[in-house]
Amino acid sequence: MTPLMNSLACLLALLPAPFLWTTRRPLARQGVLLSLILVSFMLFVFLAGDSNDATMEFYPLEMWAFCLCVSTLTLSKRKVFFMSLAQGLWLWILFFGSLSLFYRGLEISFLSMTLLAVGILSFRFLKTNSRETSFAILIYWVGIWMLF
Amino acid sequence: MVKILFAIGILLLFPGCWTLYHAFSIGPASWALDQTVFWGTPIVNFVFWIGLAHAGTFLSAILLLLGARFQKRISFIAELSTVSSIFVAGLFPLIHLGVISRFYFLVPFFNQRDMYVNFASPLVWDFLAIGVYAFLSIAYLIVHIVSLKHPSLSKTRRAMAWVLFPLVLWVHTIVSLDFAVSTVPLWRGGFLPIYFIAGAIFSGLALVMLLLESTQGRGKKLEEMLLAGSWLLLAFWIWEFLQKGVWHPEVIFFGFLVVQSFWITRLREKKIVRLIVGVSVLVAMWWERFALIMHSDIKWLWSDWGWFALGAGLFLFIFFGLYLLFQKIFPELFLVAPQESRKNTPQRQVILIVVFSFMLASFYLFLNHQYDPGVPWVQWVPAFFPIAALIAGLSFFVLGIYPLVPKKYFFFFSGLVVIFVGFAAGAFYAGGNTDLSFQSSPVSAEFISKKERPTSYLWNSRCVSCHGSDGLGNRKFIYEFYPEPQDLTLERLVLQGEDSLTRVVLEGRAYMNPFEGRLSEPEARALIRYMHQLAEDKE
Ligand code: HEC
Repeated sequence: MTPLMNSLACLLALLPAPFLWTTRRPLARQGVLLSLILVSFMLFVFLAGDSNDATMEFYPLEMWAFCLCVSTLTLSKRKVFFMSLAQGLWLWILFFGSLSLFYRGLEISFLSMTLLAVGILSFRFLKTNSRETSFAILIYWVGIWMLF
Repeated sequence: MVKILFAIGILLLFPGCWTLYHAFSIGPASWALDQTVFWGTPIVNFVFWIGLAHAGTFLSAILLLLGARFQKRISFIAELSTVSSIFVAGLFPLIHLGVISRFYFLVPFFNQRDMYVNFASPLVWDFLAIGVYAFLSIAYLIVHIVSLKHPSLSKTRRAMAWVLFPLVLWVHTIVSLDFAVSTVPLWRGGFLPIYFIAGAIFSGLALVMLLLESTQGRGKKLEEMLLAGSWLLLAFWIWEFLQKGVWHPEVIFFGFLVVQSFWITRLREKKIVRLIVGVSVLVAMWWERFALIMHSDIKWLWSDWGWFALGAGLFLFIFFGLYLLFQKIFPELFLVAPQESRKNTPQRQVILIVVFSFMLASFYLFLNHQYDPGVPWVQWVPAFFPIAALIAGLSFFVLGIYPLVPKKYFFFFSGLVVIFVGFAAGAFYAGGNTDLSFQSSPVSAEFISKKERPTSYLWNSRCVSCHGSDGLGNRKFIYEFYPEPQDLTLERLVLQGEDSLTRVVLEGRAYMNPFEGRLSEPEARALIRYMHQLAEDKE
């Protein structure tokens, strides 16, 4: 994926994030919403992605996890807990996805995984309710995304 | 209702056990085995049942941590269903091995048998992860039961839930790696780990919903979750289609369309509709695994039908058997949930246990690593976590139980466990007899001569692993393990002559093992003629 497409993917993933948890929806509707977002990411990657790049296989899932990460910033209760969960999901996708590709001869890049692990371990020590910290965390995630 | 289902379980066990006997005495030739990928229906059923085993922990441990209140009512049923389905799931890989008496070769026990397990193989991870998961799920269930009398245990329950949470996801992720790391093009996919988790939880939810309907009544939240899950899976099916161009209309019909009837309240109120939806999801998820694993059109044999009886029978038997048992001795289990306390295990203790278990697991892997230093460390990670989880989970369990039982019993039982573990370790150390000619051949010549397809049985059980059922070579196996056998051509076979080829089979050649002692001379000769036949068919 070209840097341009990568940034576009980043924007696309950021787009729905603030609205995910603003209204209380029944579980089923929430599930439909999240799934449809995932499908739209999939379509985007299918159309815009580089089909020779094997990491595209889990790229939409990464976008989804990234989107979920950002969306936790809007939560008011158990924010840190869900932040860790969302980052854990992202890490999971990256690690096991790369591990599968490793058997096909692709190198694993550990940089973003390490950063995510650092996030999981350290965000509990931040005052996540302040706007400044939220913004800093957002920048941190976007940074991980762009670094890839 | 419970008793009826228990009785059905027992009835199903009759054909089930017969299938098991049939499968053990004949081996892999007795079921539909896809020779291009070398996997067959036992693996389909394994993936299906291990998926079902996830919902219990999901509904009980994960929702406990997420703070969902409705999980209290269903947690016991969910845990019981997990324990029962793990047992069913664990049986199928053993069947698939063919030589069940050698299953312990999968245990990574250093290098005592000069046959080192391959830590880069997901099959070894599977063994570890599922074993640990089964063990800790049982411990978790015990904690649940005991905590009714001793509310102080609820903090142990929370701690164990924290161990089980990643573990359960780990298990199905590893099952997905069985596929994702292989050479089979249709199994490729970096998205498989998450896809498999979603599928496992989806099918497990359907099972718990059915169990709940048949014992206690409705679980409205479960229905909502099932709806949500159907959409998530639809997303993955779409992605699979975009990636590989495959889709299965049956799966989408049973797994997605039928579930959508839950949007209509009038339908959802009807019990029969809920039951149909639950069963339909199970059908879809079974079908999905089948479509994933078996690509070629293979004729089904008796055993392939028998697995249904075996799986369902064993599950109903264990689940409802335990259910009836607990109803007799602990009726309150079904009425009250364990006390919820916000109290947690002291943080220092948690950190200590986590560090301790990570260190011990690293040490164990370090000892193993010396035998296989070529395997890069990322390939050890999947094996690492289950070992650490075992140590951590066990520590929490013991620390929680210790103050509650009389010391006498505690030491008595611990002593038993130590003796048992020591015995098992000794047995592993000694190993079995690995002389292949020592074991009587699973397919005896007499048995074969009574059957209509004698030689093809032999061929299928002994030779196809390398030569392929059509004689053209088994791509997957050759790629992963062996040098390539010659192309099977009539000309070549005629040129070398039956006698000399029979000798090749019996005495071996370069990369082919000798079959002397495992095959009689007439059998070897019959096989060469069979190869002739295959070559002729090909021309
Ligand atoms: C472990 C894998 C393996 C198994 C199992 C196996 N073979 Fe082979 N076979 C080979 C390989 C490799 C060769 C090529 C050997 C060589 O020429 O060095 C071969 C060669 C042969 C040949 C010689 C073919 C030729 O054109 O020269 C015959 C015949 C044969 N196998 C028959 C059998 C039969 C019958 C069985 C089952 C009883 C069997 N093989 C099981 C791997 C296997």
